[in-house]
Amino acid sequence: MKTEALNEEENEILQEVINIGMGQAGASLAKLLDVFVNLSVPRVSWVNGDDFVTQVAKLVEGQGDSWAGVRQAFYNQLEGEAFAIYGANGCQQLAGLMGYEDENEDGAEEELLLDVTNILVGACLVGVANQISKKLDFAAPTVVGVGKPIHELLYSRDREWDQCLLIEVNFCLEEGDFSCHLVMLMSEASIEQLRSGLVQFMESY
Amino acid sequence: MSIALLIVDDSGFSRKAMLKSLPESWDVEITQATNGEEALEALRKGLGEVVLLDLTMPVLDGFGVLEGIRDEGLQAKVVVVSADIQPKAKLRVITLGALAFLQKPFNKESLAAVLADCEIYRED
Repeated sequence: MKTEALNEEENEILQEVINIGMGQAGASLAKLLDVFVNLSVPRVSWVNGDDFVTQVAKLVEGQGDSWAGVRQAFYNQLEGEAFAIYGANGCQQLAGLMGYEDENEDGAEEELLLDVTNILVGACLVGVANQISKKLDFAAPTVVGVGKPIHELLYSRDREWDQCLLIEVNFCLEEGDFSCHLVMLMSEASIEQLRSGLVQFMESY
Repeated sequence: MSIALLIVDDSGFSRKAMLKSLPESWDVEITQATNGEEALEALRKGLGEVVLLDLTMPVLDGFGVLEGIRDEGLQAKVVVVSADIQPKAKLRVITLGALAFLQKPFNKESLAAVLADCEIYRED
């Protein structure tokens, strides 16, 4: 059965719910790094499973050709995958901000990316789930690649959704090059849960 | 006499939620703006004695609106209503002249409390 996409009103509510989740994630990042984080307006779209990689590639077009990516799956009443995508210079800056001095330290950079991703994805999605009263659990994040072109980070042979909801939020620091695109994919199976939660959220006003 | 109230938010849902949450007895003439540029245009026309201002918006964000108000010497009582809950964001808007910061998601009660604190409107 084909899942019906969110209508305009549901989309608008979702965008606001994500905006609030993003604000919580931004505040967590600001606290971790002791910096000011610039937030941007979140973007939500309904895409074919096959189109996902192309759509994300468009979002980061012209911003470099080498990226580091971390994937974190989430499940329970909402399910899907989140990717945090970091620019190459951003990783070094992040290491500097966190006081990692020896760049060659084995695994230090990857560990840092995992920690930051865990914080951003957790704060953002928990923020969303709490507002719409849905349960959410997380798998451990994994580094999918460092210094790779974008499509190599996002490819998955196991993703079998015909359609999914693509959510993108962007964090950048006021000073320096660090930026992180947080891309979340929600499966078709989650859409009805999401829809019921959004209606409930709307009715709270 | 009614007060010129300007509601600035790029989210239509958020503007609707704000309209529904205003104190019922408050006599206001409402104008809505969907980004910072529209907000400044409305302010120049005197349509915003009181402004409820979002921060994260396209075209011109809420920080830009506060800078515009300051630079053009516009008179407005501004309450920032935002999901950007970084302590530095709050500090920055207050430094730029906002009277208060209201965290999203807001509700009738939190909005009424902030309006009363700023001595903008108090329900009897």
